[in-house]
Amino acid sequence: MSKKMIVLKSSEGVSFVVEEAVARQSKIISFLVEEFPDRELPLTNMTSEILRKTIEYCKKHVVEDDGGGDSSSSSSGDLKEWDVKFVAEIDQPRLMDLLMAANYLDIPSLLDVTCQKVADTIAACNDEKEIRATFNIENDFTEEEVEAIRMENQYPI
Amino acid sequence: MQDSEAGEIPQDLMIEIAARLPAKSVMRFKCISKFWSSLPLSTHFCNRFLTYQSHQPRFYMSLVHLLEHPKSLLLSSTPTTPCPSSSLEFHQDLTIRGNVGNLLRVLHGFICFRVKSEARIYNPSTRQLVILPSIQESFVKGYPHYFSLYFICHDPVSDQYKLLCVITALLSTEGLDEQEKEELASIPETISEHWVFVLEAGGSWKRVAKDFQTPHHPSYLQVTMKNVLYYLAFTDSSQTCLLVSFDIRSEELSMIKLPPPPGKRLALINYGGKVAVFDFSLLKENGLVDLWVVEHWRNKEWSRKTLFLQPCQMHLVTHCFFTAKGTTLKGQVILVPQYLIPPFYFLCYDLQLNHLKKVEISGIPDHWFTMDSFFTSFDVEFMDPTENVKYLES
Repeated sequence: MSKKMIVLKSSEGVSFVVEEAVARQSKIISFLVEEFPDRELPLTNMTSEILRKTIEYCKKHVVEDDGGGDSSSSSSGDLKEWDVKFVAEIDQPRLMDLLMAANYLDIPSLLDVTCQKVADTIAACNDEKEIRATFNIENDFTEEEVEAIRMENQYPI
Repeated sequence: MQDSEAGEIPQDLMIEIAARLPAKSVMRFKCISKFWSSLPLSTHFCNRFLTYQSHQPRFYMSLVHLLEHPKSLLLSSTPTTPCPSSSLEFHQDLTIRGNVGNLLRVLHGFICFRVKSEARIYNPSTRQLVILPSIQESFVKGYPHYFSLYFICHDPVSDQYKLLCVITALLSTEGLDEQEKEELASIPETISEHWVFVLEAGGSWKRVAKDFQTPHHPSYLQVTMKNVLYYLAFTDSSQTCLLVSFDIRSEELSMIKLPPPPGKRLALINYGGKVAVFDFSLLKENGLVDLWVVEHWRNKEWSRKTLFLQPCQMHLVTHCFFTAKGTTLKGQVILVPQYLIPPFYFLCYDLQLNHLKKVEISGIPDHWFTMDSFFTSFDVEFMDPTENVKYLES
């Protein structure tokens, strides 16, 4: 029996042909497929690069699910290892994009691994300056505010 | 789509990320930017944070010098497994030196203790110390010998932290002349009042359970189950032991009497979802423990189980008296020697296995063992989960 395929279109207009079972890990796509069968689904806020990554993740997870049942299968340890490697290979800005994509498409397991990776990156920073540099955050406090925070953080005597 | 920076991430996603962090990293958010500093103030975030806490309890110990309060210390262990190994190392928490009190209680990462007769709540993760105001309008506090005991609890429906205070005075007719004795005759020997403080902005002490008829003086231990806080208490001369329940939401009290004869050494525990009294008065003498389980509160139904310590473990309990602290840890009762003796330790009594385990504690400064025990007090409690980033308002 041939597998049903659907087409996802990135913001650059690139089409990706994906097995429906793979794409259905996204709750949003699952809903859209039911509502608009046989239609190309435009994902106008996702770049081809991020869409490709998202599909790669979904493909890996759907294959594992087919083989051994649910997440309780014996391969769940390997899958976890794969997830760790998958997010480790992505640079910081792309990781944020992937996290947003997982949220937008509603893929809970991908959201979980990307959130955990970002959290680990924050936890590994030595101080607030390193966090700002890593995430390109502007310090919008005035000097007086910084002083007030410093006072507040003093240990109770 | 442009590259996303953390600064542009919607707040709900930022909460998902930050909830997975240790408290130390979350505390750094205060100085990063205005957006990041706002996260720890969100109630939604604080609740998500608690759900990601690993269940690795941390033991806390307070060493209190009753005369020279600034010498008092708070010690904590590194996070441990629910059933700790045979030794634990304690470290001094330098951030709260001198401000520690006795009667430690822990809840959701907060530590509540009493300094003189007032309550304080400390969060080691945020270093926030809340000093609660004293209760001004108390009638009982007009008596010369009164004491206040505090219980901390959480109402999950309103997501409020509450402090229950029981103030008790024991009236004594000693040294009074006949007329004064006559004046006191109409008043029971024990009088008590209950007050509640909701830890929120503008909070204040409020008298509760005014109609509760049985004056009592509570004992130290508390256990909380299904939104009800339980504590043991004694009535006046008859020395009847009561189990008192405080409905955290409605703030109503109710009580049942303990089946006689109540022992002198009791602990209150959560026994498989039921409140139970662990009577270990005869543990030292003959290795016997009675477990009184409340089967039906309204019908005042108790069931009794008796445990005998394995003979090969008797040596663990024969050489000193113990007190129960920090009620249970995965079905275990924590028994602590009554006095500070080196090397210090505590015992975990596993009720399912009927097995005692000794856990040695290192890290207590040596000079505490030589101080006069009359002027010092100590407490041990375990905290699970260990971190909370919620900022308490008062």
